[in-house]
Amino acid sequence: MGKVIVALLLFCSGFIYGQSSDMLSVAVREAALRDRPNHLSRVVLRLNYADEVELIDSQRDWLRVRTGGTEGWLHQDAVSEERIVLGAGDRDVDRDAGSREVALAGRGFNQQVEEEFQSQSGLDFSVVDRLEARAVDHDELQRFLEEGNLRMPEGDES
Amino acid sequence: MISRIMQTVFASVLVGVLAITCSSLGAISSVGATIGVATGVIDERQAEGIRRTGELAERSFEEFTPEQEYYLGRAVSARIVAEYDLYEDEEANAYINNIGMILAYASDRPQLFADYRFQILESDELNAFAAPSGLVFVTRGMLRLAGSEDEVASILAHEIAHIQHRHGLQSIRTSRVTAALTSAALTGAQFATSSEIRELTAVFEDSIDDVTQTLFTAGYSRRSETEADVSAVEIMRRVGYDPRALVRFLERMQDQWNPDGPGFAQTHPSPESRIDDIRSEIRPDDPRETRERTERYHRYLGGI
Repeated sequence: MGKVIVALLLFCSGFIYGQSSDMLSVAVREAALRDRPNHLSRVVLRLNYADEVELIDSQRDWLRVRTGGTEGWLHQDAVSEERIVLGAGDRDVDRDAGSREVALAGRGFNQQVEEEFQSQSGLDFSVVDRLEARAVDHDELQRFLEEGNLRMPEGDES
Repeated sequence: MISRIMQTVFASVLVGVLAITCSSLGAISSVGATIGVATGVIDERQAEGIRRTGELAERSFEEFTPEQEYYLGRAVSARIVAEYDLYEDEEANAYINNIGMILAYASDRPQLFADYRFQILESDELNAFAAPSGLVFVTRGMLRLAGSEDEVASILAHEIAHIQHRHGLQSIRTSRVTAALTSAALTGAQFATSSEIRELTAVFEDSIDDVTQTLFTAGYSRRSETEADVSAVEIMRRVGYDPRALVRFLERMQDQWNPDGPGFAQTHPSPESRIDDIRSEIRPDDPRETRERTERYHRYLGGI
């Protein structure tokens, strides 16, 4: 009986609060896993939207995470506690009772809406694509910082 | 034996309480959906979805995912580049991207769905825009008015702060936010019917209208502008730019100020009042402008 109550409690609390796991999903298009909690530090791995990582530690806005044997730092804004599911066309994605809420990537305003909007408005998105695709070299940024006597705040400072 | 019975009774009561807790959550959702239909805020199909997912009707811009914010921002950017020509000098644009990226990384929102990028517009107008997706635009006229790298940084930091505080999304009317988010909650990643996508695209377009109208003509609230200025000071301080450069730049703007002129004059409070609001934010030990940076400004933007 005790076990049943505990199970029910877990089920119910999982259902209400949604969180009971230290797994996180990448919530941005591409996230750089870095060797230090600093946006200009070395990239150890590039992660894609909806990739899963395991939370190990945190330092203010930065999270120490692990994925497939690789550890590194991600900014907290790069991840979501919700499990993000890519490319699910189903209207109802089954939720694991007691586990994380499921968020469908591409819900709402998405590529499809943009295409529809574009065909109706005739607006040109190719310029936007080009501007977004501008390369920014982080070694160059580092040089630019040093040359200008500027600094990038690290991890828990600032 | 008695204690065994008591245990069972206690357990049953506990299970009962849990069951009520769980089911009352459902009941609240169902009430919300009923009210929504009665007042005509949502249609029957949406209400069914809300009952099914247990989500309530009231929605805030804060619920937009980074991905939705990105697509809104891309369309806002498309409107901006439809309105203005681009200034295509590669060195000048690379330079403001260096300044802008450093500031963006030091902001409280360094990580958007896609990265920040910065672009100069071919216009003599004094103006700058931030699209919620992270594209920041600044006119030639604005950069010409600035007299140093730190002043350019103050313009870009102010725009980054608008993105950080999601001021663009805040300018979308609540009815559209609710419609968009409710619809998003009901559909999967792909739309089942063309009418679904048409409906959401109409909401999308209205939302873009709200944001672009704010950027081009209405302006953010005075409170949002102050918030952006205060955050700009903080962002500049973090990386070592002189926050006083924002005051210096606003003084230059005040000299050029024509309340009836195009651009910033239509959408921003007077520079004088902005200076009054931020002067107290500057600290004596804040970083100072350096000669090297100002020389760098003249090297890349001297001819602008």
